[in-house]
Amino acid sequence: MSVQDVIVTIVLIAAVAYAIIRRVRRNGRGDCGCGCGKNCPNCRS
Amino acid sequence: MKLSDLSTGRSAVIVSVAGAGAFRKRIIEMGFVRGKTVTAIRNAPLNDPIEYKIMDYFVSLRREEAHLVEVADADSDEAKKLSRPAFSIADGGAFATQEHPEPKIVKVALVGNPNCGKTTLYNYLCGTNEHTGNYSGVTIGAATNSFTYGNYIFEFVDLPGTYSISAYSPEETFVRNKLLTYDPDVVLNVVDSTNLARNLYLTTQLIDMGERMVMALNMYDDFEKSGDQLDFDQLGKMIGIAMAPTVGSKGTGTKALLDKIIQVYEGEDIFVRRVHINYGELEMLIVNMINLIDKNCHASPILLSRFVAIKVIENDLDFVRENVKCADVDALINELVAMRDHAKEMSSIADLETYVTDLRYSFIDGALNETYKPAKRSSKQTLSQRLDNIFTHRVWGIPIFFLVIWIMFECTFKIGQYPMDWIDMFVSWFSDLVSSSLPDGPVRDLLVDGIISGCGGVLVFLPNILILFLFISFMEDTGYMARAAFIMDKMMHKMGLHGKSFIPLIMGFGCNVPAIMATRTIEDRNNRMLTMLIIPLMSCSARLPVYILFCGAFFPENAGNVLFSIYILGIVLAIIMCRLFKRTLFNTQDLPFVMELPQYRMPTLRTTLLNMWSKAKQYLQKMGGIIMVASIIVWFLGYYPKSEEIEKNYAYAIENIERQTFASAEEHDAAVDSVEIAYRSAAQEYSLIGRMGRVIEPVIRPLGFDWKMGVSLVAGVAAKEIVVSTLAVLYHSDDEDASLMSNIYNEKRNGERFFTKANVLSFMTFTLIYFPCLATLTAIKNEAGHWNDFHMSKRRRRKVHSPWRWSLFVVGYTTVLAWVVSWLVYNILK
Repeated sequence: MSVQDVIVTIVLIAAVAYAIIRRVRRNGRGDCGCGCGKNCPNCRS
Repeated sequence: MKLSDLSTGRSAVIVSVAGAGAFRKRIIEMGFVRGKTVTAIRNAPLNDPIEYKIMDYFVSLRREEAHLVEVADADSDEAKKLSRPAFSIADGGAFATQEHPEPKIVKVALVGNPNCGKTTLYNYLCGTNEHTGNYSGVTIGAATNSFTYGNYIFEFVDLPGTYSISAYSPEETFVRNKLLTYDPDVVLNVVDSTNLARNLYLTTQLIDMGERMVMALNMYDDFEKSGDQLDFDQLGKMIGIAMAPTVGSKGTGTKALLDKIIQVYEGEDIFVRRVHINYGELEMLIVNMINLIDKNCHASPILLSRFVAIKVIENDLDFVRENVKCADVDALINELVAMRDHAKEMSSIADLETYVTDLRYSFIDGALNETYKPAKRSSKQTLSQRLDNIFTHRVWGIPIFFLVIWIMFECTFKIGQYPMDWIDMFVSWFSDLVSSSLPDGPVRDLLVDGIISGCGGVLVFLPNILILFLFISFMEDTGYMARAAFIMDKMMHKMGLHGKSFIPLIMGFGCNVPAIMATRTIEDRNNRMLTMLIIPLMSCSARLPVYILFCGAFFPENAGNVLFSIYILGIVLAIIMCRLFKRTLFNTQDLPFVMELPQYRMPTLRTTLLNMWSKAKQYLQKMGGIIMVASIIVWFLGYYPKSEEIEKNYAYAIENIERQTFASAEEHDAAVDSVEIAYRSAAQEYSLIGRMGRVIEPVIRPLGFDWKMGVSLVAGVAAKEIVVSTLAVLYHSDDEDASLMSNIYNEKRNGERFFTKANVLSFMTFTLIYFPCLATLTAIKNEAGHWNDFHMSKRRRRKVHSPWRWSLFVVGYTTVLAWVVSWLVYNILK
């Protein structure tokens, strides 16, 4: 496995982690993912 | 005579309102009370609904609803005999003074009628950019924000507009409950100064609640222009409310407003006090009820016993049950109801609710008689009326509406094409730069083929999205959207849709999520559910990039028309599904629909620019977030694992080409290109995503799709923009200057173009209909509640507990429908 492969794998893990964290946050508070930001009526409800 | 019989241009005086329940309550609260003059303005196209003018504002009523209002000719003896109860106010005492600890946090709730400018004022005060529009029902839920002013921290909560705080619609209940739970220090009652009489009705209810209030006389510039005069200081002293004139769109008067709020918060304004509206014959009953309530229980500290008594008189018993803290609340309610019924029998009052409403309007009339002088109205039509003569014309109204929508799509494509090309050039240049700066390898491929290609593929459509939103925002802010609902109402009604469904459906063209939330304004839960189920068929702006991409590549001459047809297809399918669901799933009632028609207004440049900025920011944030993540994942899945055999064959083929002699450099390049394409295709098919794609390919092949299109549709489940970013990654070519459009156009299989008009239209159709994004499904889950909450037909009713069921139902029906319609499109056009 080359250094470049390692870097790419780290980027992938970070991207997946970001997606999961976002999903968890969605269920608890904040962003529902619709892109409306902090005042989204969906997250606010 | 019935109001529906009143001919256009004539006026009459209201005698009584028949009917029952929410509709009756709503229109009497909107001013259709005994003695008020109403004028018939015009019929909508298809002869229904009818526009009426009452108390200086315009309202749309369907013919069958207008039939419930009994009127008398303005000059008749009957009209002259219609008396209104006398007006009087009693002092309810000063508010209790409080010592506020440091830091001083002032909790302010914005309450007012729909479309009186609450959110515009809130945006100006808080520096936010909440969605606004010149029609009722734009604000959904409560927005909160805080800021510091002087030594005070202001905590503002912006509530949805409401005509009253009875419990007849979800937003009314929401506002009332929020006022009780949030317990604001000061209620900021925003009123439309150009329509005081109607707006003050809500104020009378807030007075009954015993709220400490400041009134923002909003749109005061329009009021001054009309030539009317108001002694607002005197009015404030009379009804115990501090007053401040404001212009929310320009921020005029906002400092003075904040100073007034501070004065009231600190108890420094001596005129701000509790007043009691005199309920005439019912006053003795109210006093007896208060005694009984005080003896039996403690109303919560923020709830006045007098207000509880009035709620019992208005038959709002659920409110009492929910909010009065008492050992045996049901026994108390029974006793209060018995007292009320006895008092009614002993009095000459025919209907208690109407009597209370009449007295509130008498209170308003009395207060305004002493402080408000209307200017003489000119017989000339206002600009708004002249515009309405065109836009709501009986013959031309509907064609003009379709023309406006067509122009919107034509401009979205045609004007958007220029900035789109510039961004495309920038993305190509950036891609070249990165490609030439980095050594060969997975990192460079990730950046160029994954991130830049995926995000760049979506970024290029930003101008189109902004132009679409500019049009929608212009229609909303000018007041045309309410006219669109007016002229389309009869058609919607015939198709089985509730009149109030129109606004959420139109909002769905922007984003389905707030549209689902906007169904809260629909009182009947079955009608609400029905609207929610068809909203995903309204093509949201996230799907626009897919259409622009394919229209640009395959229908450059007729892009606007194709775009328009796709949206119309969504609407037609929504109507068909609505009728189907109505017959099979829901027993919906035909509910009345009352809608205010606001004056036309010219949107301010500031609001328009802020809206555009907000949309651009959201789009870019989404691009830097979920779209980038999806691009990385799709690229990774399409890059790994590597097949040694394919790599070897590729190296061998290139070596072979280099050994050969070609007549020209072009021939050499063509040979290399064909090897590159074959290698890329083989590597992708060997990769993880290729294998996944192969699994779903049999299902989508009948629609004319290949596995790459299938994978992009699956990826688009998270957010629809990802469909394009995935296509950009999967159809990326080695030519860094080639745009996604040209890559797709030139995609070849066995030497022939893969994409045809048939499979392109089939793909656009599938994207329009299938699987709403995850955010929409979450919104449906939150709003729909439980399956068995709704009155379904007995055959279909079953006990299902998961709140996700409705979301899953939407997933199922949209995906099946998408497959069937796309199959038809493909096979007919093939």
